[in-house]
Amino acid sequence: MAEGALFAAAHGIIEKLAGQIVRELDCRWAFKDEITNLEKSLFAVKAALQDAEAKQHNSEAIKPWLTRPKDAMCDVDDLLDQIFNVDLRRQLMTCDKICIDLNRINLESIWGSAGKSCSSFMRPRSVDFGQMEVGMKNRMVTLDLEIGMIGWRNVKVLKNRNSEVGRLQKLLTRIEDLPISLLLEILYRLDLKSAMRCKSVARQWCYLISDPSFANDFVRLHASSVVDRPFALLLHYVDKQIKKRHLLATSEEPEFKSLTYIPPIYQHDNIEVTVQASCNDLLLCCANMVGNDAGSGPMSVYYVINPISRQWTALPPMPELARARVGFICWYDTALHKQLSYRVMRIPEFKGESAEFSVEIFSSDTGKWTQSVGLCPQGFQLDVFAFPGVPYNGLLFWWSSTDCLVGFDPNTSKCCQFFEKPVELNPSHGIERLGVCHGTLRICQISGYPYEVADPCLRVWELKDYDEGGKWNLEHELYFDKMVSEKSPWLTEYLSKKYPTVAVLAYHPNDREVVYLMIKFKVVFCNLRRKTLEVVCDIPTADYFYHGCNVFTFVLPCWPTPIPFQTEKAT
Amino acid sequence: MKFCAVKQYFDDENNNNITSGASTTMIPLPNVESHPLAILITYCKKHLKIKANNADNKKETEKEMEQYEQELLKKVMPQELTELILAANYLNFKEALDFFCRAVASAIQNKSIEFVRKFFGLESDFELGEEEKLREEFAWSFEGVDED
Repeated sequence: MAEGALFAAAHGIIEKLAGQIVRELDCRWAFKDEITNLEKSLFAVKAALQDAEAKQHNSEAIKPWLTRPKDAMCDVDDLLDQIFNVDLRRQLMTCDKICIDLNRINLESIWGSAGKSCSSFMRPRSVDFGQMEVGMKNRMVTLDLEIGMIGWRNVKVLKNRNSEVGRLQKLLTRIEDLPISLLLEILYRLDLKSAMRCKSVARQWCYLISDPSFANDFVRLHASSVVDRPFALLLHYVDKQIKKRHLLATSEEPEFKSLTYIPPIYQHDNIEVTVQASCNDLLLCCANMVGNDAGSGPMSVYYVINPISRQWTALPPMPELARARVGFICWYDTALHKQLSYRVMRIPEFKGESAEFSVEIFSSDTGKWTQSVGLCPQGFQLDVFAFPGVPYNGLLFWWSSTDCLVGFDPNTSKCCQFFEKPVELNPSHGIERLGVCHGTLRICQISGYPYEVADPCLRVWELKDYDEGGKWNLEHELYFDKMVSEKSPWLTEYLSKKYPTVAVLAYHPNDREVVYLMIKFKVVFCNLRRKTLEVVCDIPTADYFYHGCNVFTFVLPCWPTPIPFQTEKAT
Repeated sequence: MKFCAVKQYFDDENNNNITSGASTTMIPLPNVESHPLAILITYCKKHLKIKANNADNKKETEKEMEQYEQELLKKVMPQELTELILAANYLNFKEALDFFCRAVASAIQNKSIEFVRKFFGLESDFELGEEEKLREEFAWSFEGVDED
């Protein structure tokens, strides 16, 4: 094979070089120990390449390194100008070709059984194998076979017996000292913000950090540290005066500043973008053309976006449906090498109770929308408010107006879980909010005046025994006039009056005692056990958030979930 | 033995039936300089000593180790850390490698990009406009960075 021949040629030259250098070194600097080590290193390289056959890694990251050897070669050439004869220099220049062609060769070893003879002490491990010493022992070309990169690093000259060496050291100052795998070990130990920022340090760093495998290893290292992930509530509303949709995040932390990002392709005046659903750290948004699209009728383009990494992918366009219920669920598919898999389920609005209804499902595995039939033998009725489905345990849950909880399988749109309402639930008016808190499903209800002659009360139920038929447990029962706000006494006063207007926005993702309320144009943090309230932020309008509509929970992960490359982006 | 590379050498020697005879064997460590090696040996000895002292109490071990590590970091220059990482990696000394990597990470955490470049001896190799684009895209990550 031509490539094999090239590699053999490369090896031949390097061995020759080594021989030549060795002789020269010997007479100038008496590096006897280093000479034997050089030989050993070459054997080590061969062994490493044999191992590498199994570890092929196609990476974009290899490309920037192709330019590096050229630069380094120029330096080495300068050095050799001073010291070696012309013949050798000409030979060394051909190393330029060797490095570039390594990319095509795919690291296939062609050096045969010679590798077996190397001492196992010099057996290469994940880093530091393939140390071919080219030039004056001041450059080590490191073949990092775990991630398929060619790196260069400085090595200090150990025995400085000649003034020439001092000059050499001055020329070799540009390249970093660390092999790539060790650099990665350091980067994995940074926090999210610093690691993201390090993308701007150098090109190589940008490629390394953007590579999907970086995310996997980063998360693995951080998963062991048990810490409550920060989160924010995302509120979506329309500013009636300027007729523009707004996204507001409840947290001021820098990491959440990106939440309101809209891809440039959708940032036009005649495109209306709405957030439809959220799952983990991904958002499902919908872009609608405002005004009439000639011929085909108004179309909606749904897209999945990770606002922190600003990665996004668009789904194929679908006809626009007003008030359709949308559910979005995603998970890591371990079979597909930890790639993200997601489903979007869209239920066109239908009136009344029904056991069968039409459903549209998008699967990221097929990249297509399919028409399906939603089945719920016990009867399912859409809630008045267009809630997104709540993703939980691989199913999408909706609260049916028949006062029960229904979970649909996003692959088959069949109802797989069905739970009757809690005993204490007041049947005359629906629930406030369906959500997940600390790994369990929750619903809540505000009862009392004006619905009935009773003191206003907030009740929160949690679904226990999920696998054994399910049982609702009344976790909290809090009367409004018992709630106290230390920092905002006006709140306490307001709630003790006769008809306070309170809506439940969301549950805390982890803290089982916390709930977020909307009271008088403010987002309020409520601790149900301590019965305390605290204002979080202002909201300009209350209309959109009743029953928790248009409120999305966003939990900051260890590392932003990478979105796999999907179909072409549609306009 | 914590220096796994050295341990492997001994194992291989036994496998190859090399009868060295002498109780002190010379092990070539061509990629480790004397200064980092000395620090690693001290670290290793301390680690084993603390572990032996607090045989059952894992938390005590961790606490004492942390204290020792903090003191060690004060004596070591940041630039020396890269040498130590290379040495620990070559010797396959996992605990030391983890510690020194963490030390470098905390040295560059929350620092500006210019600081990180200087630390590693790098220069920006971005083309015109590329760096600005990255800065704009991840503007949130540049907030709250420590002053140089």
